[in-house]
Amino acid sequence: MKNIDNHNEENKYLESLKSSLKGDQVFKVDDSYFNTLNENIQSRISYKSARTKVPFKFIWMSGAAMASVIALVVILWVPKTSQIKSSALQQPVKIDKTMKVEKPEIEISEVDTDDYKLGDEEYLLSELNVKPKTKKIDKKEINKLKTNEQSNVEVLSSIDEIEITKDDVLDYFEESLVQEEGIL
Amino acid sequence: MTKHIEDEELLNMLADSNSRQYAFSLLVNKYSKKLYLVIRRLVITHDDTDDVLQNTWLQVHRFLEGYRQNSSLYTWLYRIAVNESLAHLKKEKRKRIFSSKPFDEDLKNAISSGVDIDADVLEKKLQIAIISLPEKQRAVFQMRYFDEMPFQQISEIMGTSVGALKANYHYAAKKIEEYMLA
Repeated sequence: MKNIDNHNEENKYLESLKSSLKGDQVFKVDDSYFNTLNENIQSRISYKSARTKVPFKFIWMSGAAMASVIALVVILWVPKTSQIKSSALQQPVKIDKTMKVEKPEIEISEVDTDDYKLGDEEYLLSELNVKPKTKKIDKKEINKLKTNEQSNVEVLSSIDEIEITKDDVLDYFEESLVQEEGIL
Repeated sequence: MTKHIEDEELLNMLADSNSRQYAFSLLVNKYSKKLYLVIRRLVITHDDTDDVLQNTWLQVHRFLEGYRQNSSLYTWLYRIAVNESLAHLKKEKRKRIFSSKPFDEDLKNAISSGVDIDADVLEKKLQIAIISLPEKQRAVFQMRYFDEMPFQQISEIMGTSVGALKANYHYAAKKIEEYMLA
């Protein structure tokens, strides 16, 4: 292996070339460049040191500004929106009185009473299409409703919420037949 | 040695906060030309050299307090300049990783075009041969061949062992000679 310390002897061509080279004079540079260089460096140093001081101040200031903006939004904007919502709810709904409402045509099939016999509960129920319910209702409640001066519709609507048994319906119809048509 | 004393004086002035700014300005004036050539040989164009030189001085200003005086002031400045130059070359290469034209081609063109370069054919050929070397090898070759720096000093600058540097220089010189004689 060749001794690498003897590189000068090895690279004779490069060494001989050295004498004919201009060296660093190859690179042209104006002397005025070095006059301005110092100023440029000084200004960059002062700018950099100023910039490194800025962040803490900047972070604090921008943070405070952001917080105050958020607080303002919360204080001014949020209550207003809730006010709008509540006032919108409080406004009465306007109904156009000129609007015509057509009455629904309801066909009520008459119950054929000819085939009805007393005690024929199943027949009556099938005609009325009433399904028997399991839970019993307090008879006192029914009687109360019967004696009540409310209109039939009101009674029915209130009854709607009460579960009716088969017996209750039959009792009611028997009584109504007696009162209105005098069948019995 | 007057120069060494001057460096010592400069360092004393730099240590004093009252005279620091003035001392730094003196330091810049004293070493800018030398460092300019160190950088220029590596990055070739004047504009890039200007950028790297300014960055070098910014780094010097930043780390001046950490300078331990283990090596001479010039060696320390030289090391920062070389490191900045190598970092610049690396950055430029990375920028053009997907470019059809490699960065080294741009440097070769800058030499061939002769803008800001006063070289004859032979010198241009030598510069192109140097650019063909890997960056670190290029730096070692420049220090040894042009500055005739002792390997020990190059070792301090590059942070590489003397043996490795000798081998590095040997291969670099061999490649250049082959290119020049081809």
